[in-house]
Amino acid sequence: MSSHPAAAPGPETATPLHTLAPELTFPQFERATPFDPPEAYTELSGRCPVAPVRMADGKPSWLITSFEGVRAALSDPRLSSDMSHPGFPNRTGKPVDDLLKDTLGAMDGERHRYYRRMLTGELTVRRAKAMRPVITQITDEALDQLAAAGPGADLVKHVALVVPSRVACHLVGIPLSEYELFTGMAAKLMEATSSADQIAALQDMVSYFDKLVTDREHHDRDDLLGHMVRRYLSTGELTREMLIRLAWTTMAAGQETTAHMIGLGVAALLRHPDQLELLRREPHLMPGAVDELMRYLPMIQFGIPRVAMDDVEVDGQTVTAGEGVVALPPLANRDPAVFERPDELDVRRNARQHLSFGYGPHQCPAHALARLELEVVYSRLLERFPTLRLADGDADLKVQDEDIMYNVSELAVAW
Amino acid sequence: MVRVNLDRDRCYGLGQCVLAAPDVFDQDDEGIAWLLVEEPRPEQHDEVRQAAMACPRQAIGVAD
Ligand code: HEM
Ligand code: HEM
Ligand code: SF4
Repeated sequence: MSSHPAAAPGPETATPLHTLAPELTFPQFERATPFDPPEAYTELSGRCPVAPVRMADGKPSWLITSFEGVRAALSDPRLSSDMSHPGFPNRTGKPVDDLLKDTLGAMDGERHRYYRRMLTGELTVRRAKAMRPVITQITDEALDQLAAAGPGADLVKHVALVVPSRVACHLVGIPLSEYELFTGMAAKLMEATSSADQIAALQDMVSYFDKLVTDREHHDRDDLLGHMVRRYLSTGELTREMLIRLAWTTMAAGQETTAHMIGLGVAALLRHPDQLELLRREPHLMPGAVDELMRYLPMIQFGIPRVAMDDVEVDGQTVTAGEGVVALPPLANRDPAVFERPDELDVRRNARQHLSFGYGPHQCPAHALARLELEVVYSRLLERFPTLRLADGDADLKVQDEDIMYNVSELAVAW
Repeated sequence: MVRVNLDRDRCYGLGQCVLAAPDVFDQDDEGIAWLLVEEPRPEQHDEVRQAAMACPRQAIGVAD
């Protein structure tokens, strides 16, 4: 069935994307409230769950906004993550960052599976659960800092940006004493504006990891690097270069994502006092609340891009080989066919199937760890500060709508 | 009686099954799922069906 009314006289008709005149450019920024996706998407989605949009480089892509459409697209092996492909949706209008080439997120098929397996063993549900005490300790230390800074302190600076990177350091095997050294290098890498700066920053990062790997070649250590050196480097299944790449990309993918989910999640709870009250009275609701916050908050605001290697049908629309698609979880997470009253934050609902971790072979391998981090941080925060509130009351939140992950850059709290 | 069937070749180690039904599924050191029981008890049937639905690789089959 075609869900694009203007498109299809017959089920076999493919409408080549380049013949269409997209009515919308991507991305959009105008929002009715800080917690809702841009209205233009919602309006478009109502008419057409797979719609053409114009990307920054002028080329069109298909924007997928239905729950089933996003699941179908992200689990279809014919839709590729190869960001160097000319049809790959280009959001910024700039060429692909060399840094990201040949990382897990850009691989397909067997090659992706080969490397991904090595990482998923480090991120199983069991492993995540075993990290609860460490996560709790790291969280409590961050909350001490928040308390010491006093009412009016910035929760993003003292908690959100601290906990996920410390947890990631612990997971991978970066000594906490070198935490500042590492975050300094990471910041340089992210902030590099010229490719010369970027190459230099990457060199520093790689040689830093190289030392950690050498250490694991001489000492058994119970961390991601230690396990990978023993199991895959020593057998030749991993090259040193690829091991280091897997390690630092895991660090990169695990920090801002979780950090921004902490900041935005707390902001949303403080702006929904009835939901906050419910969680204070019934703390056992917290794991479900984590999923509901992930469903509700439009975090992955620029969606998940893919390019078609073959003709593929997605929610009634034929995507022709070579065309790009952007799957948009924030819209799919509010698909009324799956979630009742989708625009309401309701911590009692079962929101586990939300698509904020993606779907299919690239689905976030660290979802169990990320969920646990969020659960511990939100829970400890509410326990420790029973009167927590926004220091600036009803003032506008400082949302960053041009970052890859939608976020609040500052959140002053009082108690 | 309900039988669970797991296609380990399809499994990508995403662990959704373990979250949904921790007494029925576990993961090995590479994250690949394995079955703790093939014939779950009646009170586990709901969880097992949820696990099958949650698996992004459609690696889990449930036969009544
Ligand atoms: C709330 C926090 C998080 C969110 C919302 C999130 C979201 C995502 C999404 C949507 C993807 C899929 C991208 C795609 O399909 O191309 C992904 C992939 C990934 N995530 Fe996460 N993530 C979070 C936390 C973490 C953490 C804590 C880690 C590591 C410790 C991590 C490591 C990764 C890695 C390595 C990938 C690439 C997987 C692949 O391409 O196979 N993430 N994440
Ligand atoms: C294997 C997977 C990933 C790798 C290798 C990776 C790597 C990187 C790198 C190298 C940067 C700096 C890029 C630049 O500034 O040009 C970056 C930035 C960032 N990434 Fe990722 N990333 C991965 C997955 C993800 C996922 C899944 C998300 C969110 C869903 C994410 C969110 C971010 C954010 C928020 C930034 C900061 C961007 C900004 O400054 O606006 N990353 N990542
Ligand atoms: S949910 Fe599916 S892919 Fe994930 S571990 Fe279980 S069987 Fe494997």
